[in-house]
Amino acid sequence: MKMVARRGLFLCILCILFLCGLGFMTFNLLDNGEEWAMKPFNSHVYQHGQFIATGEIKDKNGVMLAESKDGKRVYSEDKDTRMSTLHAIGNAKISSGVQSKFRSDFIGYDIFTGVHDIKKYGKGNDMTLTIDSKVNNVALDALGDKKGTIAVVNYKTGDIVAMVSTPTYDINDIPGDIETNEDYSGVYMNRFLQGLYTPGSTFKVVTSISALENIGDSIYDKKFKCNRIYDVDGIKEDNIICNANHGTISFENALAKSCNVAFSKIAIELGPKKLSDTAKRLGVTSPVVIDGKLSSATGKMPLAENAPDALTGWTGIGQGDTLVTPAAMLRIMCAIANDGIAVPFHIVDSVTDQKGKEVKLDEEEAPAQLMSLEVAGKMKKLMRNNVKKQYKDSRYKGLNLCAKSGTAQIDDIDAHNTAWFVGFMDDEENPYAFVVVAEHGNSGSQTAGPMANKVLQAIVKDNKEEKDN
Amino acid sequence: MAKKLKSKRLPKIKPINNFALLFFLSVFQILTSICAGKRQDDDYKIVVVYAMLLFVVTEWAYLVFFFSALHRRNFELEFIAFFLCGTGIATIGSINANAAMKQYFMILAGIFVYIFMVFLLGNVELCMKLRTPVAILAIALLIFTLIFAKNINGARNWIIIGPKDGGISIQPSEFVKVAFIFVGAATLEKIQTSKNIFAFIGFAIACVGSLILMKDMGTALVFFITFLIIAFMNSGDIKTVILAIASGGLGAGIYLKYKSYAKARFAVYRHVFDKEFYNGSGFQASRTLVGLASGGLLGLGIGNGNTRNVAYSSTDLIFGVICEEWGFIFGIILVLTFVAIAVSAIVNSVAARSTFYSIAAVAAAGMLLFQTALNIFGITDVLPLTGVTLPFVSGGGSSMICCWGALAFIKASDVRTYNYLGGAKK
Repeated sequence: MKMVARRGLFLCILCILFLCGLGFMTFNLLDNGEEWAMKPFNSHVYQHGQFIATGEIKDKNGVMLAESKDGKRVYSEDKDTRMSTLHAIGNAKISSGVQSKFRSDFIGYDIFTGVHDIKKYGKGNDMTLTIDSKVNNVALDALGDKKGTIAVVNYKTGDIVAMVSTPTYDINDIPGDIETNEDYSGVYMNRFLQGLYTPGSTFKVVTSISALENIGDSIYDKKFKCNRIYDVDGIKEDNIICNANHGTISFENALAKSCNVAFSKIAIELGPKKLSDTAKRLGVTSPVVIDGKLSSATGKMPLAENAPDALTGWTGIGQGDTLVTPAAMLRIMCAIANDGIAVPFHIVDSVTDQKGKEVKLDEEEAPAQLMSLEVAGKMKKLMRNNVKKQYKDSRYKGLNLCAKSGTAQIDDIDAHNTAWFVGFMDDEENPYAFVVVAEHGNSGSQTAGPMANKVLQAIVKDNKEEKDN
Repeated sequence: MAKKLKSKRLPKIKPINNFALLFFLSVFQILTSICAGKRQDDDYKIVVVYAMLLFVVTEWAYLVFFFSALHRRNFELEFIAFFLCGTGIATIGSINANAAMKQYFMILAGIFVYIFMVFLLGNVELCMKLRTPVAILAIALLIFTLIFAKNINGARNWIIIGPKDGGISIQPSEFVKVAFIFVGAATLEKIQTSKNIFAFIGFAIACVGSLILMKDMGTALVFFITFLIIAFMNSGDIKTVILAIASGGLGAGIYLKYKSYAKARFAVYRHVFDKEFYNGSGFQASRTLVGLASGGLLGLGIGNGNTRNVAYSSTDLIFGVICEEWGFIFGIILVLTFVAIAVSAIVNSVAARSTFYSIAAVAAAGMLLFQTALNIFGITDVLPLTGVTLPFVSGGGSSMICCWGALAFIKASDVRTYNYLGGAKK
């Protein structure tokens, strides 16, 4: 009998294996439950291919941007608002919007109750964005018929106040020729995040930071000779051509006048390694991640350590093979404005469930020190000087603007140039950094500058009115 | 309890009041059936409640009869089976109301088979005599199925009696499961000659071989594991070696036969959410997992799930339906009862009156537990999917009767069962 009992061991082992299997199954569920619940074939949250578990989306002032009515997704009543927030909100075609990327926050999946609340209320959590739809509308108006992007961020908090990408369209009245018309090429892309552009002269900010860090204050004493054409290595094609004959020029003025010769000389002096190290640390080649879920494209800077001087020189003025996203450039601006610290960007202000309770969001990443306090201070002064000397405060009244323009050459036709204008307001009341990119914009300061001014003036005016009330 | 057990260190446990226990179970079952009758955008299906009420009456009749007439006091196994069957009625009824009544009658048939078998197993001498006829009958049944089922459907082992619609479909291999345990335990109870063991090996090969020909891999695996348990329950000399070799041969046979089939199963295993599988061979498992996640630990409520809309939701996928709607915690409790059955079989086997009971109980419990594992782990992608039913819960008559038959072996191994005047009186 005892023998038989001992041989019952086989069943004991089977029991233990069974319990292990249950444990594994439970672990799998706890670990992957949220992911499983979000599968597109889960008809609790998707119906007819439509994600139904999205609640209301409002802007920071409570303006309704999107909501579900009778099982249909309804967007803002105002056409401009629909168009200016199109990329931020996203839809079936634009997967980089909050409606797609923050699905898990909308579902508010809870392992205890599963998708019970979605079934009960017929929708998921509500979301308030940091975006101000009014400012977005101004930005859309400023861009006009140009393809490009405008984004504004509070550099103290990281809140994205405006994010517009053009071309855009009205979701309630989708143009019939959207797939074929050249005017709509790249319409499903959010250019702020996914656009990869030649940085042009805005890259001189990166070169300047590298110079301040590696050469030090002696850079201010240096004089650069500019005869409009800088023959680097005797090959005509490699010649660096400046926008003017600047003669003998200082570092400070070279940045203000955007002297290509001076900056290519600085880049060559720094060498490819130091230049690309700085760029890397400043995040030129790393994606910008918003609220942990909305990620930008990754910039490229293929500058080998043994790169020839000509390429290093061209890269130093933003005309090499470098490609950056407007988001990455904006992050650098934020760091300069905020004592060298880049606060992570946010687009989600808060999420509340249908019972009105605030839902905790994922823990945000830590702020990153992109440069030292001293370098940030010096850059701020240099960029302020740009506006005083070059762009003129009279054109940017009351903004206390620090900025850098860029005119990136795409081909030999000036009209095809990408116009850049990046910078920030050095103002405690209005701590905003911005980026403006306009494709086929001809000139940075002429085209993109006024666009930035329009948007910033609107923000300052709004803030003032809010205070006065 | 009353029967003197060898160990004196047994703690004094107050006997559970069987009537109170069944009362709570009945209340639970009636409540679940009331919920199950409610359907979205449809009339209330009262038939589910009727089926459950009939079942509850059956439960009480069973308890009262065996408590008073036969003075039995051990009802744990029956209560577990009642719990599982009641959950089955409510779940099946919530999917297809009319199936609830059918399920009830299947359970009733199962209970009668159970009562009959417990009675039969009380007479060991008779069992020994029945051994060979049962073996021959089982093989005959399998051969009959093999020939007959082929004409209807080459891939399945179903036999349909009566008209095509509304006829009764029978899975003879389920009955053979019970016969297999019976023959195995009865043959190895007394191993005098090696002839006996070879006879059993021959019987096992015939059974598994037929199932392989029927392309029922899940059931073949269940048989194989049951065979292993019986083999290892046997004494540990040269015969064990022979058994082990035979097991290996059987295992290899299954593998070779199902090589392409098994390969396809393993390709999708742990990849049910991959693009190429989630609408194909990973359909059932991926939908079950999504259901599990959607239901969470507490469930969405009876009738609110989506797993119910997947094919085979009242048979193979019933665990998924229960988890999604009744909650994952409830699902776990449900299947843990099979561990309880296994533990009681192990405990019983120590003190059983004869080796026959020990082997049969452990083999039956192993079979139930293994089949449960194949079912719930198959549909949740913990193991490759094999397509077997969840004992006592899934819809289907043959498997229900088999489960009650298997339970009879465990009941018979309990020393209290045939101690008619035992219980509280002593």
